[in-house]
Amino acid sequence: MLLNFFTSYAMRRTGAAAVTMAAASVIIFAFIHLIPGDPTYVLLGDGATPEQAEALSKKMGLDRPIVVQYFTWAVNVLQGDLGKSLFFQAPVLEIIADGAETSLLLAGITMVWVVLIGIPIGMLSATRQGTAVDQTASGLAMLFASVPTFWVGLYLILIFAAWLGWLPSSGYPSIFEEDGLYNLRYLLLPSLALAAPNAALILRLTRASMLDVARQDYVRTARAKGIRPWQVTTRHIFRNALLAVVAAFGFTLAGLISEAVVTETVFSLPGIGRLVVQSILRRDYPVIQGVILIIVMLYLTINLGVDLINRYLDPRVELE
Amino acid sequence: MLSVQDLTVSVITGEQPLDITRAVSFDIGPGEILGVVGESGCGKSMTSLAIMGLLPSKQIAVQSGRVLLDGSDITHLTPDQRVDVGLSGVSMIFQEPMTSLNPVMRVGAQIMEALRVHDRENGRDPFARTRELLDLVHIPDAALQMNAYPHELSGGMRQRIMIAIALACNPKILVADEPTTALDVTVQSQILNLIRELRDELSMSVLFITHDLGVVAQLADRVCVMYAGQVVETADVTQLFENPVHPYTHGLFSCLPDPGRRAEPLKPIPGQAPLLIDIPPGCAFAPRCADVTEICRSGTLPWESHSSGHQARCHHPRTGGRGNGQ
Repeated sequence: MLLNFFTSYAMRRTGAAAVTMAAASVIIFAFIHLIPGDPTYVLLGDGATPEQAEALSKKMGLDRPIVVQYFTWAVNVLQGDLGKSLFFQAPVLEIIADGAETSLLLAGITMVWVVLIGIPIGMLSATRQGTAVDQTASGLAMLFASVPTFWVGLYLILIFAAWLGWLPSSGYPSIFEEDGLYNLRYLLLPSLALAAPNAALILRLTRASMLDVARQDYVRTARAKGIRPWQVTTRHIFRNALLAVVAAFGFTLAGLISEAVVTETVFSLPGIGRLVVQSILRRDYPVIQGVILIIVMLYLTINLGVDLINRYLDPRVELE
Repeated sequence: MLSVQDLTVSVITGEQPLDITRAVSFDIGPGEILGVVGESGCGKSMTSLAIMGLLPSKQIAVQSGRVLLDGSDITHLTPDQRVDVGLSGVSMIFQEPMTSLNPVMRVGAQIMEALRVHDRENGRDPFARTRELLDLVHIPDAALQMNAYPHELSGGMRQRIMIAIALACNPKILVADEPTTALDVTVQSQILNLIRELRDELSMSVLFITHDLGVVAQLADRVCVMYAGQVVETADVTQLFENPVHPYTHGLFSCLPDPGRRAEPLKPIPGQAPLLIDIPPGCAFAPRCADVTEICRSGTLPWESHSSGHQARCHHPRTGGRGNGQ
């Protein structure tokens, strides 16, 4: 019965996400029409003749009614056809797929750091509130939450790549190339740079949330039962504090998308973030459109995932 | 059974510790229900938390005095330390049943958690025992309700779950800190009946903290009246209701509506209870008392016996029954 409630909740949330996606797709589609002036001239440059412009317009289907254009585009997208890059003359999906490995691995490793650093140290900090351990951890967290990612990135390069020479400073050759998984070392510094502010945020949130929960009446009830203090901390305090932390993971992951743009640029990684930057500079609209579509999709998926995890962790979340 | 002796609980602040309770003493015999009455901030909750070993922080601590359970000193032991030394005879239920249960844990699991600590040697199946406890506190459909989350239950049901958790700890004494204040009146009397019934069935003692004299009249065998951190009067319940002697106790009674005197307005006690930092020397009630004289304003107060088991801390006790002297 409980599973049914959960399934029904999951289906509703998925349905809601699909509606949002459809609405977003309209905006993304309209993107090409938001470019000031005739997009064909923007694409072709100032020196284009009217004949060239008309030919391109026809080729892109811009001469047809806008509703028809949208549905043609939407059907193509649903079939996995995001159009063709103007710069690479290759399907957009392929170009994005090329960058996806780097970006997904970078985000994945970053989240591992965030969880491994943020949650345990946050817990430690909360259980030792006011001690030297807590003050050091909170101070460092404050520092890393305040400095920009690129600054941390540059210092990591300086120390671990330039001075110590332990790790490569830029590029990433893919785990399917020679050396296999060992190539992940290329992502070590970027992921640390990207993790720094986010781990700091999760650390502070874990700490604050645990201190808040520790004051709740039910924690006193738990203590009154005579169970061990560590059991009070893990079963009662941490379990409830986790609700806020998991909710924050959604924002953190979403934030990674924009921070990845900077990090991938600093470390010259062939990821989606750098692809966006370069595509904007090249005015490669189909690619920008495609990347935004994928990012919106990712964002919605992450949020859906976080909602579902929260529903699982917190029985009070209603089936709204 | 449970003996509280000169218990002083203080907030340790900058220079000088502030006393929340001052030399509170009382005894609870086997099977006895002792009611502790007083207004908010008089130290009754802190007394109960100190008895439970659950004072909320390092800044609030027992400064002097002792809590004895069957003669053993349990003053400075937390509940889990009491389990370790085999002195875990005190359980507690709290004022807010809505917030006193863990929201993400099924209520059955919350009861079983206590059973695993306190019922290990008995070799009873914790599942079966949990159902027994739920039956004992009159929760219908025990097998089903075990799987409920707290938010799925009403306030009265949650307080019953709290009582079941307290009972899972095999208490000799149940400390109940305003357990019915947050409930509506019909549910309130159900919970009071339940507590009395459990006292009879399980022959445990109850320390019942409340600000409600009506509840005390219904439930308690004996009463302590607290004011500004001190016990000002103690007597068995009929004595106290027929023959209160402390002017503060008189004041509490004149705040109660009396259906026979509907036309008369209630008489509140003038003034306010003193702040912790500003407790007057001598009798703390002196600034609000109608009978005050010069000797009340300094020195120590007599703790006088008025009849067997009836004592009050006052220079000018009012004898001659309720309503006298006003």
